[in-house]
Amino acid sequence: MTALDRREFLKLAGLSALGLAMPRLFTAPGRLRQSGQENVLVVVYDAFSASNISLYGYPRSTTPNIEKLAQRASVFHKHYASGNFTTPGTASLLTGALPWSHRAINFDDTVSEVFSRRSMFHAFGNYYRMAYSHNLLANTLLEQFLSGIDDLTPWPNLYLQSDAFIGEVFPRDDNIATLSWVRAMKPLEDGTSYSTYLSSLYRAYQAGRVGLAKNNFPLGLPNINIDNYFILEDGTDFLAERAVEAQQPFLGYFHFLPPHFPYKTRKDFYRVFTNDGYRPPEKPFHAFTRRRSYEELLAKRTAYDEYIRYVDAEFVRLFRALETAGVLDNTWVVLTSDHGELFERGVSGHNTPLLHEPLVHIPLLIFAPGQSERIDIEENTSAVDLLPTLMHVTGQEIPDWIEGSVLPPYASNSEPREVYSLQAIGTGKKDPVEKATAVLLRGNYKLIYFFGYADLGGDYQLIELYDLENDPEELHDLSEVRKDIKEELLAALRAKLDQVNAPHQ
Amino acid sequence: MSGSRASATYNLRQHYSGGLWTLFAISAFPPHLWTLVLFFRDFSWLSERSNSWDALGVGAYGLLFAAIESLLVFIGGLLLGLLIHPTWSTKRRILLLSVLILLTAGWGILGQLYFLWGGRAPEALVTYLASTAHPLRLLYIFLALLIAPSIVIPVFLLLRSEKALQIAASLVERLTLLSGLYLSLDAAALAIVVIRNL
Repeated sequence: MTALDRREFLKLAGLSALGLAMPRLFTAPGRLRQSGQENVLVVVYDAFSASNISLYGYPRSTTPNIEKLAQRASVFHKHYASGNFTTPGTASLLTGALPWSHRAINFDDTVSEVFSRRSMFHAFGNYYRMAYSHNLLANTLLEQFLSGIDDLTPWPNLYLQSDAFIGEVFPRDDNIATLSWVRAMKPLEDGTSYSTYLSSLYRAYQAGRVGLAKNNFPLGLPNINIDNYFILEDGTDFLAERAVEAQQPFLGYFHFLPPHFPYKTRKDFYRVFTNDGYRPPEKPFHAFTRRRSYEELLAKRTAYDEYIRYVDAEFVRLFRALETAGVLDNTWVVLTSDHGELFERGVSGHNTPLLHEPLVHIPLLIFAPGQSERIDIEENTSAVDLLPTLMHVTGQEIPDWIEGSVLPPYASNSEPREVYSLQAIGTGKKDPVEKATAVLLRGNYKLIYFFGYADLGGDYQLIELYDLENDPEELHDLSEVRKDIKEELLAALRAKLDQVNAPHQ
Repeated sequence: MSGSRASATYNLRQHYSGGLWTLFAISAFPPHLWTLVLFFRDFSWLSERSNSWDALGVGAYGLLFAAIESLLVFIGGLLLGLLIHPTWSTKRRILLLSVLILLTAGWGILGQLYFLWGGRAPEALVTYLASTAHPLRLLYIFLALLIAPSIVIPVFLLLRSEKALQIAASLVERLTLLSGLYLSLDAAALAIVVIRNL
């Protein structure tokens, strides 16, 4: 063997060092860190009720595609929103805190100043953070969290047409200026608009912009504010593209409107459930009823279920696109919602004090990178649990402001949790919660506590107790039959309310 | 075209001398009137939705949009007026344009009132139109036949009758005064919009 001389040894050592350094100098495109810092993609479909999802046992086959994908996911069967409309529901999802903490309680509210830097985006500070929302209420929150977002796509970007330019002209008074513009230019259901000449021309101009897209939607294009039109396909394509191009690791939050009202499904799902013979259980009018008849509610429910089919098709298209692009290899994908939707007890929609199952029971599926087996979780879980879970699975420290806990199966030690939801419209940011509907779920039991409502008469309160294991439809109020459980849960809920109200007294 | 006739045609000031304010006031009258009528109807649900200040804000922006609409109608009227032969007197020209503006606005408002009052197209008409190959086209023709006389007859009278001209002048004078009041509300509306955007 030939001995190495000094020069040859130094050459060999230098080349070896260079070889060891190569992976660090030339990382794969878009990749900043080694594995363990996986991407996170949260996809929210607005007003998506678990009660209407066939994956969760709904008799209509509303989610055949998601059911197939669920074979590779952790499926949470008892997951709950923290509120029954977008503002508190989304704020809880984004902050990991309950409405009485983050204080985004009213329509189009923002979180309190303290929580303005306590969001999912701020928690993932070392990620590339991108976000988009179709829903203007969710967009209000995203704009508040802008200091933690690297790329917030303006909401009009995924609309076929919108009134966003009014907000650009009057940015400090966007809501009222846009409301007035809409009132001036777009006829209400009664056919009136403030404008006598321009509204017709404006509508013709907008119709021209919408073009051929409307041919695929027999009930008209999905929209908000009368004629701000969008199609979910644009959102799907946009998200798929962003996920492929984004700097890694990334955190993406994408909030799409369907299946939120109006329920305008695509032509391939139009009337698939109409006259199918399905008739849900009839439930008596509630104290807070709007007196919608059973048949009217059934018709709306059917349109909603058909709209869910559209969501189902688009989610699987998104999933396949991400899979083909290889994004799923190192990305956690979450499918969930901000709140549900109700078609019973004389009430349609989610603008109500009620917090029954269809309104707060929402889907949650978590697709881990490389997961091939389905896991079913039957414990009660909350929207506030999502953020700590995502931080845990990506190896990050969980901030102390978070009220949720890591979800099974990702938690090494999972304790039964108490789940809360709240609807407290009319409560100011610094006021105690004195008029609200609050829910406490513990085990199989769900307590719904209405308090402070003068409409109820008497002592302004109403208490309902349900055994969800044996009565998932909430048909049998056990508040007078199981007084022991009622008192126990009520005491716990009142203690919690006293605790959260104390700083605001 | 002779030089003097060209200058008469394209000299706006000469074409409309003294009548520009009247034309603008008439252009502003229908949009402001209708905006205020509907705003007063809306005020209660707007206040309930948020608060009275926001409701007032909706009205203020509404008047601002009405002012812009008035300006656009005024410009449209000016351009239309250029088609009128320069030998017409300014008074007759302004009155004709004013009447046309009021009539078209009137039809626009009437169309909205028809639905507001629960009006529906006659069953027989709908059935007939549905049975044809081009129902929308026929509907537009029907509406044109309905609206055309209401435009043609007043124009004809203005051209032929001094009495009609005097009646129109009297009406326009009164509406011009009323319009001045509406336009002063625009100043208040502008102040509200400025305050809301500070």
